[in-house]
Amino acid sequence: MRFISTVAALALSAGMALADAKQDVIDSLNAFNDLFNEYTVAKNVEGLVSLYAEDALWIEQNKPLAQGHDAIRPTFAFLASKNGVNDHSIDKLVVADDGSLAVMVGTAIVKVEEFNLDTTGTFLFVMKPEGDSWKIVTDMWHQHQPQEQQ
Amino acid sequence: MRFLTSLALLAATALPVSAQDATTELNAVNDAFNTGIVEKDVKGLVDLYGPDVMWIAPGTPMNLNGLAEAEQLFSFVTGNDGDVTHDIDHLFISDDETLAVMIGDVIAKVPSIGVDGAGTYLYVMDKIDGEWKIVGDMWNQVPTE
Repeated sequence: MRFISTVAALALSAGMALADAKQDVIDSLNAFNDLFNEYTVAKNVEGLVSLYAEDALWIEQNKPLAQGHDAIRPTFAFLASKNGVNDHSIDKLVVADDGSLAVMVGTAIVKVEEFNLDTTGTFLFVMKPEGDSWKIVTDMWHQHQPQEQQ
Repeated sequence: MRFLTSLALLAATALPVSAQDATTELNAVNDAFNTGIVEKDVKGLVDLYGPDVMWIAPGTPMNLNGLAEAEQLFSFVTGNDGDVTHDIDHLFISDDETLAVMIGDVIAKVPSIGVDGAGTYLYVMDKIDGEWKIVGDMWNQVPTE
């Protein structure tokens, strides 16, 4: 009886440890999103670019797939130069059981006053863990069309 | 540091797998998609999807009722003798083969309504009961010159 109790206790303990580990991964993805927003507010273009893997895929609306930091930087540089807003919130997280791959889907609020731009969009990040955080290996996004055009 | 420890713990519980097997399986899903279009097999196409699908069509917010959207789209395409072809240009597969992302070119032609387009699709794929299922479908269209 004592043996069964011990095994049950170990199983319970292991289960709790796994649940904690999965929550740590979720927390780290939320922290990553916070960092993205902080860099945007701070107009830290190189900080934003550093969140991407060097060979990250960049798939923006109406354009063919591009790859690498040189394809990514101009969008953030433009927004920073125009005091633009690009606020990301997370709507859905899909994470591999072992935490080696994640997909983050969310809503982007994008505003550039100079161009009277005030829009929302959807972003999808494919992410891989690197060091004590994550790198975006794919960024696919689009702006939402006005309701009457959908 | 705690994040790294947590990742190590999750990785330690994963079953050993072969990435080559997953690549073969995912290529088979793509082949099944292309075959389903040619054979106008709407049910076969819809069966490639999981029960809960993030459907992210160009210019629209995410719709979590993706299975119904997929059925509607494939019924429309096949009902109008359309042709949609996918290829695979990039595959990301988790080490434990429970999650994958497939990215490639899509060519869509529905001559009866003047559609002749190309773009990029992205599938998020989950291993559900031993089978890869599409749980996220996002795509764009690239205007022709």
